[in-house]
Amino acid sequence: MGALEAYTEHLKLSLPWIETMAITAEKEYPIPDPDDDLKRELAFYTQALDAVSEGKAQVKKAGVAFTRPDDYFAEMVKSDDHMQRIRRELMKESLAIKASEDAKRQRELKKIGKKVQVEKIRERQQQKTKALDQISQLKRKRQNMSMADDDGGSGAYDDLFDVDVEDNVDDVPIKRSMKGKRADSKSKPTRTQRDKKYGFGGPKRNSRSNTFESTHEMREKPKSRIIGKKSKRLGKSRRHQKA
Amino acid sequence: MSTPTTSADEAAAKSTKPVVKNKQRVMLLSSRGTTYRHRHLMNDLEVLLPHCKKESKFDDKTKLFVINELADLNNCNNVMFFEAHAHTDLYLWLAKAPNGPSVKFHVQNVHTMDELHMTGNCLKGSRPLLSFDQSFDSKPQFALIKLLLTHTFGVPKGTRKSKPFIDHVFSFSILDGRIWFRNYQIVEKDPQSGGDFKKETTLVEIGPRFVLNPIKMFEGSFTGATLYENPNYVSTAAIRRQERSQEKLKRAS
Repeated sequence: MGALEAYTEHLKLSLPWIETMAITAEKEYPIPDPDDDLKRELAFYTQALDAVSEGKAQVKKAGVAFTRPDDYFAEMVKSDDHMQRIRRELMKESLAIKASEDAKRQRELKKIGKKVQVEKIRERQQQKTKALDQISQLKRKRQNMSMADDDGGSGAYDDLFDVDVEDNVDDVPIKRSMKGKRADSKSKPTRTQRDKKYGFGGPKRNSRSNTFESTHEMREKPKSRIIGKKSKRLGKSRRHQKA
Repeated sequence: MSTPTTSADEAAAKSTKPVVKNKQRVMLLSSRGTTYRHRHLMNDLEVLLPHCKKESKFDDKTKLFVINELADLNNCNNVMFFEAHAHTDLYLWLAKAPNGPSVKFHVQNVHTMDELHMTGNCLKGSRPLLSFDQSFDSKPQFALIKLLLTHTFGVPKGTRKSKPFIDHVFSFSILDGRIWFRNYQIVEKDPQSGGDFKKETTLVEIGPRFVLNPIKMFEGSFTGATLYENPNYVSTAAIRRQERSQEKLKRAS
């Protein structure tokens, strides 16, 4: 290890600080986990920032200008074109974030909307069952009434409600399956009848394969399609302009 | 007549005057077989370091010491040589030109200025501040590396094409036994008010980013006895070999 130190000594420049502007930190910037990007970058950043604060003082002491005046323009490391690209990229990023947030909100709203819809349907169902209940109750009451006094007292009740209860009950739609069962006098139509009514596509298989006839058919070869001339691909710069 | 003490001071001042200037010039070159990313990193460095001279690709894998002659031809006393292997790995040599010492690094995690969409920007050719981690002084090999880095990355005062203001800082930090490089722009919101400027100064990263893993140090420039060898360095070939054998085992089982 002696050689290392000797070489270090040999390479040391005995020059004023301003010639090299190298600053070694006096503090430690601990980074517990190198894979933790955020903390690592923060440590690097603070190290650099502290170096800048010290460096600025030293530069001033050496009598050298530090800050660039506002009216000093010169070529930069990144060209305007490059900076424009960066700005565009950042814009795109922020737009993407905004769009994703919007989509999230929409999804949330949709979820709420669905809930409301389900609630409404259930409410309607409840109302319907309630109404049916009332009707059946009424029917029972009327029956009882008519059984109790056959001397036409029921007419008064009929007048009270201005609806024909019996008819109304009949209007309640009955499920299709129930209908079919009830009308079992009608038997199922025959296969041929059903095919005629609903249509039968015919067997799907073998429809595209050759038959004896088709192979012996002498037909003209189909003319090859005229392929339309493709539009010419633009140069890179113009393609990018379009995008 | 002046007193003896003042004349001695004057003599001392006179004797130190010729060496006051920092004369560092860096030759920047690469081997053949660099990828686009390596090339872009080199371009970034060339833009950032006005005291460097870019040479054409060096096409010899064994006689690296020939580079010293090239450096001599270019009047350069530092060499930054990027060596690419198998179109994947990148190694960086930092060497003091004719007589050494030199260091070979493995360059990892390369992100060029172009790839990183960072908003920082600085004057082309302005001199950077160099910020080193405290741990550079903790070990002799790092102390030597620090000096080599100061010579190559520090732009000497009055370099041709350099700008008279300081608006960026190169930061070198040791983490994991490796040297991490960052480049920040110094942003001063209000340069006129001379108040507590620490509150006003912020940094914005410019790029590029890379990590240097020291492999070996040599006494000479690209030659000579080994000064230091990193015991923790595992060659990329060994890593790949292990990966492949593991893959085989996985497939066999």
